[in-house]
Amino acid sequence: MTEHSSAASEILNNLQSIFKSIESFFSNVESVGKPIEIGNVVLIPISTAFFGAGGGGGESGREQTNNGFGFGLGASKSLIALVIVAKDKPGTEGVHIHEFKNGKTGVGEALVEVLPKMFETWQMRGESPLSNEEKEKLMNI
Amino acid sequence: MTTKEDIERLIESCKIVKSGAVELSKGIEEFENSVNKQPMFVKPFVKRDFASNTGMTEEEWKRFAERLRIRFTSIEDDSRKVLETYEQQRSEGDTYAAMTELKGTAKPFIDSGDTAIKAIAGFATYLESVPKKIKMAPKQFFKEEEKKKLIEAIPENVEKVKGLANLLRTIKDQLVDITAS
Repeated sequence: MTEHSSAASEILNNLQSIFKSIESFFSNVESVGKPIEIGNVVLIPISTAFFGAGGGGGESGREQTNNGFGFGLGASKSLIALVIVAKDKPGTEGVHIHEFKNGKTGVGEALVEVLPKMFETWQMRGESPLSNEEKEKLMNI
Repeated sequence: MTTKEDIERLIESCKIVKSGAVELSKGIEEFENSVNKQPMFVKPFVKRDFASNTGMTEEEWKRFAERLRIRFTSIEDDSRKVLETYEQQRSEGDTYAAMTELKGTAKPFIDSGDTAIKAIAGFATYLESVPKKIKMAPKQFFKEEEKKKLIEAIPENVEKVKGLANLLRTIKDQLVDITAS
């Protein structure tokens, strides 16, 4: 093994070790997002961060002068739940946790899934201003 | 005793209710179009909010407005027949027959008028609350320009809807007096 290749190997080993530490630190860390307020309801997104790292190496011989090594790292966040807090309901009564079944990654998708639940929360607050009987009357006026 | 002037006033009121019903229907349609332009996750929120606060969906409101227009077209037509008996100085029997027809046509409105007034007044109250709701909406949902446009259009519509509710109150009283005589 040449001087070059042993240096590359050493750096690579160090990087892999560093990545391993970071990976174990970040994997499955749950993070709490910035609350979103919609009227009397507050949505708090809960995400899981995934961290990934990779490395590479190379060596050169006497006849060939090219050598090299590379590394990469990546992270992604996945929205796993939304905490829905109804401001006008005291205690735990006003708190709902909506868990996403398949680990949605887009906020849009997440909202589509969670909005019906929010509407249920809103609708529970008051009765419809018109009864079915009254509606029937209006349709036959 | 119902006078010719009473019937003339009733005919004028019918005309205004008819145009009010058409405007109500158009307003709901404009609202629907405006909602349909919103992002997909905003639409169900606004629609649900509208229905739970006004008591009816947009479709139901349009159907009700159409029923109102049809009812007042019939009341106007029958009122004209009564008016003709006065203008042509026809017999009391003719006036009575025309009046009986008018009473029959007006009955569904007399019976359900209070509910209609309540629904329309509630609609006006909901409209009054809309600017606050739009202001509260997250900026991701409504563009500032869109918010401003929607808020600016509301006061005029509130007045029109309130005007329709008041007119229905007046016309109901007119019809009760006329049909009771």
